[in-house]
Amino acid sequence: MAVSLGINDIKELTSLMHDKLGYPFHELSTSFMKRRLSLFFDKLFIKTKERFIEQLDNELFLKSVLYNIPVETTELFRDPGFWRVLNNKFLSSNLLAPDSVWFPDVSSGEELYSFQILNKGINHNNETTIYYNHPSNARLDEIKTGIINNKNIETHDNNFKRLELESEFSDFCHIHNGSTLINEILLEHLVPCKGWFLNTPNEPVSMIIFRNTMLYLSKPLQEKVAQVMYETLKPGGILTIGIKEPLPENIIDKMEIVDEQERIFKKPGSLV
Amino acid sequence: MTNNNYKAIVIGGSAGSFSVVSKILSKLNPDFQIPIILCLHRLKYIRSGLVEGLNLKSKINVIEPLDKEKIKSNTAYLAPSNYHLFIEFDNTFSLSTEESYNHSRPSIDYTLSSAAHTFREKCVGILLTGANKDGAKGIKDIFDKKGYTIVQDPETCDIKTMPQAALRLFQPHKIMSPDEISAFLNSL
Repeated sequence: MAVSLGINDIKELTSLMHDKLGYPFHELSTSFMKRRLSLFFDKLFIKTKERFIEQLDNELFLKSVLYNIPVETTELFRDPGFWRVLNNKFLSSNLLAPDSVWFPDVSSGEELYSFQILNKGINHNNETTIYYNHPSNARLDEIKTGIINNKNIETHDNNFKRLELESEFSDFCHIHNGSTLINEILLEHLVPCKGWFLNTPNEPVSMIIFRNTMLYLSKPLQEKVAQVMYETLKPGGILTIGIKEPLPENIIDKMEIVDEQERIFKKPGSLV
Repeated sequence: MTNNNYKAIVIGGSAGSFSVVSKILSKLNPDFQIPIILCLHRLKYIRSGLVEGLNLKSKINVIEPLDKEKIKSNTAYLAPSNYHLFIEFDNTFSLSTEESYNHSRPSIDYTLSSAAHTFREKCVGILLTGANKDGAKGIKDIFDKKGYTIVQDPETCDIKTMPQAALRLFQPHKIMSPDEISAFLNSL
């Protein structure tokens, strides 16, 4: 039978996780953490809260928590309309040729690969440094291998077709030992950053792609990360968030709306 | 037995339920105050059109909520495509891209279950025509939390799988045709 966690249980567990791992689990949305913790309990056959607390002293268990806590994107070019606008309005029209892009929560890598495929379309990969964060070092390493989930190939392909480009999705990946891998050329200039979304790259960036992670943050944490992203963006830099995410109130007045429907914003100023 | 203190009407159905939902919304009293939350299976690539289509005939405004948006009266909310829709205790929505459930995102079970936990006996759950069992467990959760439950009469459904899955799990308060559902809502 599934363990039923109350609000106080969630608060206790996320506070302990924060103490142990240093990430703001206690500031993630309570209902999200309830679902996430229930998932861990089920997956790892943990029957009681006390057993979970005991496991927090187990190094392997902690690594598994860090690996699994971000929500996997699972699709390349999720929301094809967003990627189409990003490509047509900015990348291929030379309005934006970013020298650095930051993914504060790269999750399972699909957003990064999607961007790199479009960036290859304008032959700009060699000019762009990609910074990406994930709380799990294992996941950071995995993303650099370019492996993508075979079972979602059809979805990736269908999304790609909706971009209405001349190329095919298969132009950007290959099969190796039964696995599908993004082509190596798209994996150059990737710089893994230890830590999660509050741990910034060492330099300001010209673009931040942070889609659908704020869904899982409490409002105060949303504002904290929004401020961090604002400070990390160069003047004229572009911020993209999920198509159903509101821009946190503390930076609404500081950003210009570039495309409201696709949630693309610009920090005032010029990149050049 | 109904009470007149409901905080939300939560309706689930698959893609084929669009015409039924449209009919229900078109027959509502324009000053219908209880928020209506719609979770319908829909194609994930199609982001626009459905809200606009419902608004053509609806007597109350239909919108897709943003994450953490407050639930307001006299409004119908449609779960966005490719996001799960949850209802929080502070009377806001939360959206999620967590994995599909019952091959569905949005999952009707998720929306109905979260409504059950949030609104308890102050929730009306309605399950319409549909092609899989998603929603059956969710509407049972509403029943278990003492909410009021209605399942569309399978004889009036294009596809009976969803209502029949619910009827196998529990006996709802009412089994109704779409016209009867409209009349019931206006009586609240």
